[in-house]
Amino acid sequence: MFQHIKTGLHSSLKCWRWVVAFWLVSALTVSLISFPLKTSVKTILGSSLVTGRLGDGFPLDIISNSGAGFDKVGSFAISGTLLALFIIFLLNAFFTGGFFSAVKTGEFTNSRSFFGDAALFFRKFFGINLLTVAVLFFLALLLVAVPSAIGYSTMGNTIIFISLAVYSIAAAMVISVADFSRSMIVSDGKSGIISAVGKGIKSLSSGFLINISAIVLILIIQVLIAYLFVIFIVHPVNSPLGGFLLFAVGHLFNIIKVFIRCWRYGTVTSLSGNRIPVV
Amino acid sequence: MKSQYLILLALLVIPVRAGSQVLVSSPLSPRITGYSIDAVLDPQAKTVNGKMKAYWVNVTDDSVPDIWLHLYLNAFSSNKTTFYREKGGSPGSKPDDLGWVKIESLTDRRGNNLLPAMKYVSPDDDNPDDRSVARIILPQAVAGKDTLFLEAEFESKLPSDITRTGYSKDFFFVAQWFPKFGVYEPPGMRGRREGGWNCHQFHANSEFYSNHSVYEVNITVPAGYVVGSGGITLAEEDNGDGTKTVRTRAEDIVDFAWTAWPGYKVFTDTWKHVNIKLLLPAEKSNLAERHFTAVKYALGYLEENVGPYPWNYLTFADPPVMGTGAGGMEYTTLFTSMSVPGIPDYILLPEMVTVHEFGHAFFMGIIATNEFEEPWLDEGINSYWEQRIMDHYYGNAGIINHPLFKISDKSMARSSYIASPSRQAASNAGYSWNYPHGTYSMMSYMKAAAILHTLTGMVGEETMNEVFREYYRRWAFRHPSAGDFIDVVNATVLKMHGDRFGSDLNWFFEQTIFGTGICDYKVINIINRKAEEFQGLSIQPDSSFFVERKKMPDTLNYSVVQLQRDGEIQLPVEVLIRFDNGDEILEKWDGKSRVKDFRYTGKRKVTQVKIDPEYKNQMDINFINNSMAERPDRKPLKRLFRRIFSIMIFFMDFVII
Repeated sequence: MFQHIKTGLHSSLKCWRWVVAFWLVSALTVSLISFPLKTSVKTILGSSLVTGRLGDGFPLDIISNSGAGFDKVGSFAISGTLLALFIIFLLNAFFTGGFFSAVKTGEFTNSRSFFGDAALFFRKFFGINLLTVAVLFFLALLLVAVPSAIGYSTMGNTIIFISLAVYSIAAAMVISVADFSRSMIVSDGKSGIISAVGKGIKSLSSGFLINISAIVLILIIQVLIAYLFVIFIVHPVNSPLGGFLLFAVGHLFNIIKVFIRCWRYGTVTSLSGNRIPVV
Repeated sequence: MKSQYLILLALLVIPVRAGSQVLVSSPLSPRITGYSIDAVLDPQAKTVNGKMKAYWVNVTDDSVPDIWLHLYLNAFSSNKTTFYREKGGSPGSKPDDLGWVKIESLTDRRGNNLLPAMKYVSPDDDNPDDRSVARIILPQAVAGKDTLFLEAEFESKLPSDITRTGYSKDFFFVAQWFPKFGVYEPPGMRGRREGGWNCHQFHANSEFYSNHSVYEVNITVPAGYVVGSGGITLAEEDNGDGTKTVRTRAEDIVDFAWTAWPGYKVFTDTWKHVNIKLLLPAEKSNLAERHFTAVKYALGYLEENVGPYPWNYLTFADPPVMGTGAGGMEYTTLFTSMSVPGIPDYILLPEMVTVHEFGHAFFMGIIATNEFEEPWLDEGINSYWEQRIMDHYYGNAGIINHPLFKISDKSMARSSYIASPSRQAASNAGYSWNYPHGTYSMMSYMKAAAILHTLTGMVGEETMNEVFREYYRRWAFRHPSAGDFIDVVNATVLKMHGDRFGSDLNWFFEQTIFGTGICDYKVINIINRKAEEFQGLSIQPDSSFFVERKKMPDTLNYSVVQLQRDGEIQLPVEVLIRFDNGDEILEKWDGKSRVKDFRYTGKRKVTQVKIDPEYKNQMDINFINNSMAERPDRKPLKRLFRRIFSIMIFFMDFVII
């Protein structure tokens, strides 16, 4: 198992350029929303001194002062965020094809090869990603929301912890199937979405314990990174540098997150035996 | 007068000892009414069967030919009642869902059957389908200073649609449940020209106007039920038939309610002389400390700044989720808070509701204003104190206290007022059910509180405390009107500040409480320019002239600060002006004119202007335009958006597999 993880790590390190590229593209996408948002707020506040209160918690009484101004900004923020989410979802489907293709060889990949494969597998990866998100959402309803709603009055927080634990296991399984399926698509280049899912399940099942353990290990690292970031944003540094620090560390975390995902792809590719040995 | 009625009167009026606990050493109120009720809860039928003996003392000189009774539970008898017409919806279609109170017998002290003389009346809206008020023509008028005794048997069916009162499964909140006297007001009382009963129907907004009464209530429930009430428990007896009877007594409170549920866990604490009992469902046990802390904050703050809490006990409950409709209600010595299980520590809703509902013990409980007719005296004043308490103890995070997100109670309330599209639809002069476009809460809670905060900003917090101490001294256990409150304000402010604000503050209340205008002061512009040299014809005393050019010192500046009043409300405001050399000037503006310019000539330039720099005027609907800087500091905005950007990009990852 550790050999596969090591191989995956090695492959992902070779993809550093594409990790940075994906981070850059997603940052640009978010900028498309956040910069106009900032400009709108700046226009609403004008030359007012109330900007000094923006650091003082959530300035609700300032926001409500602006009448319809902030309502419009709020609508724009919500619709813009949804649009950005959709664009990043598409970008991810595109880049993931490139990542899986790149980790297959474990060597540096040139732009032509990376983007060529990304385009080639885009439709199928989009389909699998959509299916995976839908299944995860459905499982969240089924395994967390419904049991918590029913059992909370009698079991309190215990039911939520149990539901989340069950959901985490189920989600790890679903993500593993998605990873192995995508690896299969890149490996044979011919499988359709349903066929790839079937092959992915089959591939995951052979050596299941090792396969799932490796993926869960990397998923845990991903969750820990996310947890660290949440701690970081919940306890901001209260100094003039705090904002910049959050900005810088936030981006660093994002690069690390993309990198770890790439590491997972490399590990899955190695586990599924789809890695092309370097001659 | 039959001897049994004498005994009733004596029992109810004479203070008693509960074990070693004296309820009150001498009556706090005139105790114009009193009730002795044996109540039996039937958890299957969802009914309470009551046997009631009650009295009403006609303390006036009027001869009163009738009595008016509240029969509030009848508001839940159909979707055509005034309550449901105002609230919308329906109490339900099944018999189990409906609520009603049925008087089975009603006699006076002579044994006269009064039921045939009982008629349902709808004094507020003439709704023939509303039976929440009954009028009974007496066989003989009650003479001045005489006492009327009633004996009644009644059945109260609790509704399933819990709004203030009702049931859900085995949870019961029994409020507004017994036939209750209205308030007889003699001429002169609260500005009344003719004497008469003040007895309003059950409305969607507003609940209370009652005499301070004494209650002896024996509550019989299944043995496994936990009971909390507005009275102190004198005894709890096992009846040997699977039921128990809880004997309670309450003195000088305006209403008696109780709750019964087998799922309650009981927590106790004390604050000075007050024994506090808290009833919580097991899943909210972790909130006990938060509730106790909040209620003790409120007790301490209100005792210090308003007046004593005279009872030595207090009970409150945070109902289970199925009984949420009973949450956020007040019955003086019993109130209900509100929360959801697992509510995180950074959401201070339970604290806020606890502070608010406890505050009603003072505003409406002790100072028993008419919530139907002048709701701001009840909800507005109480919201004002709630916000002061929350701000005092929880700072700028009285609603949400998260490192990333803080909202203060006062900001939240003010925002509801200033952001309301109907903020000018009505004044606070209307009856509670007449507020248009759903403005009742915004007007009577939020706007009224903002008005009182603004008044505090003008006269100072200590003066406001003295206003309320005097209000308490004059009106505790009585029924003041808005005019009475304003009289106290005028007298206190005059005493403490002389005529600094004029001979009275009626001008303030006319614009704010009784007016519909808005308040908006703004900075229009800051102009800085070099004081120009003189160029032109210089006319000499002998009418000769010549072209002159006078040099001015290079460093002399001419600055103008342009201010404007956009709203109708005129209030005095302070204006802080900062100069580039660090100087500050605090100007006073009476706020009356539409425009105001402050001009300065000197070596310094104006860099910043702030109207109302300490945000004392909470009625100003726009704080953004209250200030202007030549070079505004954009750093906080940049910091905020860096944070937003970082968080957005991080959480976008949730769609990435």
